Amino acid sequence: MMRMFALSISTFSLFLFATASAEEVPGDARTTVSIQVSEGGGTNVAVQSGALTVKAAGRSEKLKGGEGVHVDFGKMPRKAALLPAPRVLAPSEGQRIGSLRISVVWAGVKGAEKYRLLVSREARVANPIVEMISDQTKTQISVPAPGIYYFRVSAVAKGGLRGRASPVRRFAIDTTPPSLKAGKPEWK
Amino acid sequence: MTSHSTAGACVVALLALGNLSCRASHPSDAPKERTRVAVLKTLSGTVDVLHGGSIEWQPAKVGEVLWEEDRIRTFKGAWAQLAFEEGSTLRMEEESLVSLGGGVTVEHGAVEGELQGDLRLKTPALEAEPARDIVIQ
Repeated sequence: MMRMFALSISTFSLFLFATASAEEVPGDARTTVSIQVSEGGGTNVAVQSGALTVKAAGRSEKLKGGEGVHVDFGKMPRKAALLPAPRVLAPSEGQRIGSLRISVVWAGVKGAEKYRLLVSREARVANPIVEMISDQTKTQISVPAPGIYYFRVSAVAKGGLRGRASPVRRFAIDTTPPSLKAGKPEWK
Repeated sequence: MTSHSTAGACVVALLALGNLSCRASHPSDAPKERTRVAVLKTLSGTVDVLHGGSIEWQPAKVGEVLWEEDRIRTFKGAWAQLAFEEGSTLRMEEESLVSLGGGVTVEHGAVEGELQGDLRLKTPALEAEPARDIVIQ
């Protein structure tokens, strides 16, 4: 009985040995990142999701979603938390708007120097038709035609590091005039 | 025999001349020794490409294949979306300059996008690549 038990233990160990292997796998299949390079070569990196390894001046920093780094040319990376996403106040999700001119309003973020608003026809806001930088928490934008639009806002810290983006919100522009009521007029 | 060898030499010379003239007129059309890196998926505004081995910037076109050693620049109010071979997508923002080869080097300006695989990003100040974890499976 003991022999069988010992045999099964050793078989189990062998099985573990045979199947366990160290493998390099991506921390996240997709890493969403923005990189800005100034004239002097100074760089801001903001990681929205996934993970990124940044190397500068012989030092390596691993950034995960919500973290960023500023690196001046030849200097060590300076890691920083991204500013939180602004809370969008208007338009509301799915709001129908009867004009090509829209007011976008969001709550201010502590530490933000300015805000970046992107408006797109695509849900991923990949190819924006409006890209606006504002130091206010309210702005007016114009869109070219009726249809569905998507937008998101992010805060920008002093030094230019972009914060986390707000969840994408959708609005619909419908400039069709209300249908006329047909029928006999009612005299009052 | 002599006439055959003379004719053969002429054919070889003509072929060589044809090859030379093609290369001279379209330096970017024959990047056989370079690796295909990305495709210019969409763009807006003025976007130029400097193909490796060329000295003249050309207006970029949607669907244009980008090779190692190519450089792309966007002007004020312009942007370009690049789709890379391993699945990454990067959007170059206005007034940006990137070069391709051994990854993507952002020389100035800004890029934003999703990284997949091992795409390496470089700037004058740093190098970055998607982080990988060592896991025991």
